[in-house]
Amino acid sequence: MKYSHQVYGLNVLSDIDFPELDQGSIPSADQITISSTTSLGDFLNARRINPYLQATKREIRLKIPKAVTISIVNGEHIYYQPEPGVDENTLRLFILGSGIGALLQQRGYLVLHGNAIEMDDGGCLICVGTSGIGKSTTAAAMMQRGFKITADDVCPITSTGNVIPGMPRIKLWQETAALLSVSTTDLKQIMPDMMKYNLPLGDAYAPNSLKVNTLIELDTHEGCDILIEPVSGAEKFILVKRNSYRYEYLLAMNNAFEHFKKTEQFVQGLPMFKVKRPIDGFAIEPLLDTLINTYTHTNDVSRTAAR
Amino acid sequence: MTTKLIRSSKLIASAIDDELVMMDMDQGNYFSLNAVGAHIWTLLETPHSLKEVLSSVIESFEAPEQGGLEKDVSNFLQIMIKNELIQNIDV
Repeated sequence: MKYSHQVYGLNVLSDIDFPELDQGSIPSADQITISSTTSLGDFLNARRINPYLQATKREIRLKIPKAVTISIVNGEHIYYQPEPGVDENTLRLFILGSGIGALLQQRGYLVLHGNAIEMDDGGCLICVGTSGIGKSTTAAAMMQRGFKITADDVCPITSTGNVIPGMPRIKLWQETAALLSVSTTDLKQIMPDMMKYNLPLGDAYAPNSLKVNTLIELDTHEGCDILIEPVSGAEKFILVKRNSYRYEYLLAMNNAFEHFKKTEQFVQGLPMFKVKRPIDGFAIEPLLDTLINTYTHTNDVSRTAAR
Repeated sequence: MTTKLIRSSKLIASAIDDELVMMDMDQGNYFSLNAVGAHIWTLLETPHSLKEVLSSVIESFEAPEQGGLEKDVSNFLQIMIKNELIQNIDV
């Protein structure tokens, strides 16, 4: 194991380098390993959900055709078996994405698919929503306004309702980068043939665990204004389920019950909203104003002049 | 021997904001119930007949006995049975 990194509050020992992660180790943090293997062996007693997903309570195996098969074990080990000729960036993408996502589920977090943004009161706003709705765009634009990002794409929530900081980068589509006037010339493509880039967060990374004060689901609608709808009751549970990271992994690992109990703990008393922007034309600035105002009103903090 | 209704054991439920949300632990499917539905669910922790469910609803919600209440409750229970949220047992 040559490389030592940190991700989601864990020390990572790996045989592959992850330039997008911070190096070195966190004192007294748990350690995980990431290592390659030439054969993962038989997978006895596994639930087979589809040809690409099998699991037991303790281990999950994900097959990404023409790329890699990944085995995540006990929240501690990730073994990857690359297909011949697969490129390293592609490997990194799936290991840090699905691999770490499943590992965080195994470690007992409620894992949401969204972005966590540090707000002025030191708490955190999480924006969730279906793929392509504008989560990363929102996070990147908030960063341009001077806010810090705690986690991009994968947000693990603790039993006390805190989000664990992820890694100091966000993934941006080229169009998003263009919209925000971010040049992609010096950025690394997350995998070949995919116009998505790793944008290093630098000082805009908030490396501390933050209390989640508000959860907002981003959506679109046919009108031309921005709608804010409070979410209550059973809908809170359904919203969390819908925006949970890879719910099928949880089903495969037979963890639906634990997920429900974690959801119950998380949503009680948590202000939740749907914010719907016009489907035509993505005006980012009014959306950010709405998100910030919603958070601020809900949490009764006064935001002083723009930074 | 009479047939009564009881909750399915494969469900987990949680009360939130006057509603009840339930999950079927095998499939991970979610269901939600309003106040009357939640009342019936609470009742069916122990076996009750349709008649008993009906009179409890009438009493708790001061619902008029006329006006199709029996049909509504009966339909609701059928939907619950169909989704395997409750089941018939012989007692």
